[in-house]
Amino acid sequence: MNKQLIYFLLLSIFFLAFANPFNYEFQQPKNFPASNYNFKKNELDSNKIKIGRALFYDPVLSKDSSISCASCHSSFNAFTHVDHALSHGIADRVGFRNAPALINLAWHQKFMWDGAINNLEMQALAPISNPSEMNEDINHVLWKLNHSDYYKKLFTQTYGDENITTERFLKSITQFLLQMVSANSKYDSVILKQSEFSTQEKNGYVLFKKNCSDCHQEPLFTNLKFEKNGLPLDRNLNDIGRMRITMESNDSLRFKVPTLRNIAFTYPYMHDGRMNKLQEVLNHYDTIQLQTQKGETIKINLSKAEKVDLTAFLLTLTDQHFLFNPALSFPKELLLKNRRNN
Amino acid sequence: MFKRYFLYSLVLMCFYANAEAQSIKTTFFLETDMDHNYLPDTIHISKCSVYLSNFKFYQNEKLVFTDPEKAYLINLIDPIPLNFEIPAQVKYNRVAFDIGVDSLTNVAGVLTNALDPRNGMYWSWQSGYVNFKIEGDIKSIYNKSFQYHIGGYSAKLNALQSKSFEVSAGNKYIFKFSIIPLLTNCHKQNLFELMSPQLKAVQLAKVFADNISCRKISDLTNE
Repeated sequence: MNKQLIYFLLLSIFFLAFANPFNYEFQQPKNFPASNYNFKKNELDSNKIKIGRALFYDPVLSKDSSISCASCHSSFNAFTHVDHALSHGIADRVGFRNAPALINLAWHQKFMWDGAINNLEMQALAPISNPSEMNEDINHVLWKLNHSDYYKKLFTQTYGDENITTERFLKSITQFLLQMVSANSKYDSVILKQSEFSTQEKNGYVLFKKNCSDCHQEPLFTNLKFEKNGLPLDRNLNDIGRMRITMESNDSLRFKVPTLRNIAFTYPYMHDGRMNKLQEVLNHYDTIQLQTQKGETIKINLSKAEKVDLTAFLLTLTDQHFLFNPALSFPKELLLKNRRNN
Repeated sequence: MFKRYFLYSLVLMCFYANAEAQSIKTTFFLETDMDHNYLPDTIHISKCSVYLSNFKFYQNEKLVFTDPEKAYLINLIDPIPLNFEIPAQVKYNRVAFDIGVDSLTNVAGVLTNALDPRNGMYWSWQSGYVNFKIEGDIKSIYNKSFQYHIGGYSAKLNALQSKSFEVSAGNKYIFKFSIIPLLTNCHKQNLFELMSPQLKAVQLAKVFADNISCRKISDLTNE
């Protein structure tokens, strides 16, 4: 008996010594497919998520320490920038695209409106170095972090030493971005048979499946592909979309299909934010001819009542738990860091 | 009983002997340099960096050793030699490698050492490594500065080039990079800046790769 107890204690000590107490399980929604991110390469850890969250909200990433990731991706707007059609960088510089909402990134393969970024881990490098956004250099960012007592302490607690490398920096931000999971809307509860649509929402859902789901596929409400949204080229911006990356003429004016989750909070809409209201977007798709995935040309003809029903359904994609999740909002510890100015 | 233990010991000894043989290594020494021949005084090179990756050693077309290091970032302005540790029993007569970073590595997320994005060889506005960078200025009739950042990993914009040379164990080798053909190609077309993946970049990558030569160091010293 005593022998068994000793074995048990020894085994427990062994497991405790090697187990990471900060291990963190990814919350896989029941109605979602498997995610696309390789968690084995960057195992979730609550301390790393904490670092990523601090970095996401810290303007230290920009050249003049004036803007952070959250400046264009605020949590209460489903991580996009309301009232700004185009992204707003340091020194009032304006970019050439609408800041996309950051939702369910673990399921995405390519990022940005044109798919320029091929891995979530590399995403942060783009706004950091963009002259119209943070206009900073990764080497200088790492230098600043390596000279910050606040971050040196955080990284030491997490990684065992205070060395802040590109890998640790980018993987920590990635861990926080992976937490941006929105799967708790009324739509989700209906799918999980926990509640029911109203008659109007139900009608809207039928209209959605008939007219919109080719591109905005459930449950992510995007097919993650690049499609033509039917908008004419803005001659001032000259944004040719996916063609900028692939150099294929067939990709001209193709943009990544945005998710419709939390659509009520992600205005202005479209890649250049040219539409402020959901009604405008519905009217746009009502007036143009669309090409389906099967190559068919279709025209959406919706009556006024149908547009109201469709809007009612789209509002069921609002996820209050996601929008006002304290774990995703500004970390108050950052205030202490800024007060000490380090 | 005794027979069984004897057999176990024999097997263990074989393993040990094999492991010991594996642990004895020989070194394949490789130097790199820019070929300064034919480089006129009018051209000044301020930066010349290249990724060499996926080194593989072959014996009569059979793969016998793969270098565990994914890629090396070579600064041809101030190159340092590369040493490949190869198990002593491995015989080889050809070395193959890539000029640039392959597509799988390009989509693998954040990497370290030579592939750390802070090395200045990674495009941040569009994911992907710059396979090689040549920057400088030319006086003569052009009187311009030039910047060529050549890369691209996807589909027809894949600028990765592969190369192989006959080699033999026990000798030191040097790869000579002659950049004049590439510069001439560009300058004749009034092309002084190329810094994104595109078809022209793929063409220039071929010109760059075609003008890499390999010589035994002893051959060089005898000249």
